[in-house]
Amino acid sequence: MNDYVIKKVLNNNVVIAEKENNEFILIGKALGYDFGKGGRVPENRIENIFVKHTANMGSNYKRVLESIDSKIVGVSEEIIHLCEKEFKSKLSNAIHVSLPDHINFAIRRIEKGINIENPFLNELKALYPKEYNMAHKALNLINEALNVNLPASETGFICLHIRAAITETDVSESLAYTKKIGDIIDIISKLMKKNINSSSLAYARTVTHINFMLERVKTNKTIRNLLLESIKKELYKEYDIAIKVAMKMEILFHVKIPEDEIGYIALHLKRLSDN
Amino acid sequence: MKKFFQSIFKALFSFNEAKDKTEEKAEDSVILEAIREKQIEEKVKNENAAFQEIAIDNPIKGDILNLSQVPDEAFASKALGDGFAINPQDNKVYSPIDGVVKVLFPTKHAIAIRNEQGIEILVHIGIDTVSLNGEGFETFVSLGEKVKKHQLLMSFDTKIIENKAKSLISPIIFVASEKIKEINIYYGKKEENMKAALIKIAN
Repeated sequence: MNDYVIKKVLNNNVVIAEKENNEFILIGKALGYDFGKGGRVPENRIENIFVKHTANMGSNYKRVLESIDSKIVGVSEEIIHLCEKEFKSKLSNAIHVSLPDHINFAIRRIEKGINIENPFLNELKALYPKEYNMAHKALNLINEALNVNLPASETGFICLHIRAAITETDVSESLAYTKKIGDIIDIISKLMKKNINSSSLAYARTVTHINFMLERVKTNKTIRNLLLESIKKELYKEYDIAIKVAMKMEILFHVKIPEDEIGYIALHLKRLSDN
Repeated sequence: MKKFFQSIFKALFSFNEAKDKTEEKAEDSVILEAIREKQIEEKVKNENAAFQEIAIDNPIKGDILNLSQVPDEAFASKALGDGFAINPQDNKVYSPIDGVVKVLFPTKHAIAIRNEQGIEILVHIGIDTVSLNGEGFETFVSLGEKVKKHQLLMSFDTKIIENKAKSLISPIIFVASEKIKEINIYYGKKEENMKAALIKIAN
């Protein structure tokens, strides 16, 4: 028969099923609850399918399934499914391993009373608002389904995982990028002799400006700054700081910042100092 | 080195002497120690050989100070990079290296020269001198121009800076310091164009 037969129930909505000798993770409302082990899952009830033995993932995923509480794997799959629905694209396979792993470790940590602070929450919120939003939902799902109380800092970490999975990069890459952005904000504060409140709109706007500027510079999409000469003359103090910020960015991101962009930075700094 | 040869010497010329096992064992370990020491020495020499040394000459006649003595957190905290500071005793700025003018601040109070190994040095005259908006500053080179070590780059007005800016102390920063593996600064009074620092970069 061509049905999916449930081999193991991970939670109410997530099951491991076999079809034609291949194993799959199936996600659908109440699949586990309604059909149970050995049950046959009708196709119209399946919302998402994850192929269990994907080429470079096989052994890692097997390890995850064998050593991590199936409830954790279950809620991870639900979170991944939610994200794929929200972003309308498949997440990188690695997250099927990294997310349950992370949640598992997080829970163990909290149980031992080890709290890891996430110093980049504000940067992450500003850089990856969609992913951050999903991470927030994910945190609530996890806390509810597993009856735990993971702290808000976890939102940041989950956000990084989601971001990495969406962009097919490493979590470490996103984290390194986030830290560099933090360094830039830090030097702006030092040069302007003004502490930008990290949870303020000004902060978020600055992070966004730098982020998009880097995009423009990397893809050569800088728009000519018609106000450049004016800025150099009138906003000479902000331009001075902007040059230094650009120098720092060149070191951190290995890009060359064109004068036009330095001008835009100066304009942004002027806005910052006015508020 | 000396210890190594001493041990080999001892080993070569004491084989005739009667020894009990423990003495021999002790000597073995001394030789082993000496060999290990030599290997470490060679390794360190090889590692150092993989670095290139670049001399950085003093751009402004004056006192070479530690960067932490700059009265400005952005520089003192090394946020822009490591380096040193100068308390000027003259008002002329000379190029510390051969290179190209990479950055020339429109208000003429700072300039950055980059050499062909990619080392970029920022010479920043005074602190908060941007507020002078160019007053008293004169530049003798332009952006993109090739310059030679000791070439006259800029001049400034000491009195104006002392009166109107925060400080005359001028930070000299090695921008993009990740290429630089070691920095040795020669502190103290230096004439212009004398050796101010020696940096080691990876090849």
